[in-house]
Amino acid sequence: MLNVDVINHEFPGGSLLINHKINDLINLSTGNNKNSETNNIDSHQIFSMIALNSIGYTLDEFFKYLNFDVNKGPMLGQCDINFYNSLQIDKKYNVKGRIISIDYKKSKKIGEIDIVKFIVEIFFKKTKVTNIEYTLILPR
Amino acid sequence: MNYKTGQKLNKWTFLVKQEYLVTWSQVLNDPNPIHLDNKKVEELGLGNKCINQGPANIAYILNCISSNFPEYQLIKINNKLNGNVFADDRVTVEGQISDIEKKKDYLIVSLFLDLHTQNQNNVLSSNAVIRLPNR
Repeated sequence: MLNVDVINHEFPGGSLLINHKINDLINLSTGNNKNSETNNIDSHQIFSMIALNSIGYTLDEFFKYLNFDVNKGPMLGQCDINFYNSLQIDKKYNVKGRIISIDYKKSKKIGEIDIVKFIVEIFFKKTKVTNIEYTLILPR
Repeated sequence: MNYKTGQKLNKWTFLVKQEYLVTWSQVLNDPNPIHLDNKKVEELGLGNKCINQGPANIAYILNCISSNFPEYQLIKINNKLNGNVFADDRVTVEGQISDIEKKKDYLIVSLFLDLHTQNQNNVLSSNAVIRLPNR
């Protein structure tokens, strides 16, 4: 059983710095032809989701905190992203987030699951750049 | 550039290699074994090849938008994952313009996009809103 006491828990938070090297690696691994040129300061906007590595927990720690065994194969079910500005290379962002809800469901396709919703917000200084609402599917 | 509601986007396609799944696991510091161990995928009854990371699938959608609209600025994107992309799958993203709102100096363009593989339709469906210069 998941630890339902974690609802409304705020992540410790962390920082995200997107450099040219990691941006090029993500472009390469997703087939994006744009290499980060010196005059192109926007990063790949998928770094909004990669910021998940900067919430103050590793994903392993996050799943342990939920009391979920990662060997059961968690999956992303839904993800809604709002952008208030583009993410840029060589800018240091602050990453925050919190767990919104945990719900049980019986799925015809994959059996008993827990649905965990959480939000991740990215700030430059005090200005919000993006917010992302994740829906994770955790098989029981 | 003249855009029309209902206008189809140019298809975007990509061959997903296992090495890219390894990259994503490292970048995300993702401990989920379904991305790295095909035996675990078999054990869970999900297939026989490693499963691609969900954010990578969404990155393909963004790449399709970027290749069709190089000057785009993303405002929002909602994504629903209905299936899995596996290592060695060829993904294809198709889409169309669902709405256009003309402002004085720019356009707000709504898009519907769909990602499929050679084996499964509608793996991922996305609704995006982008801003484009109005020239």
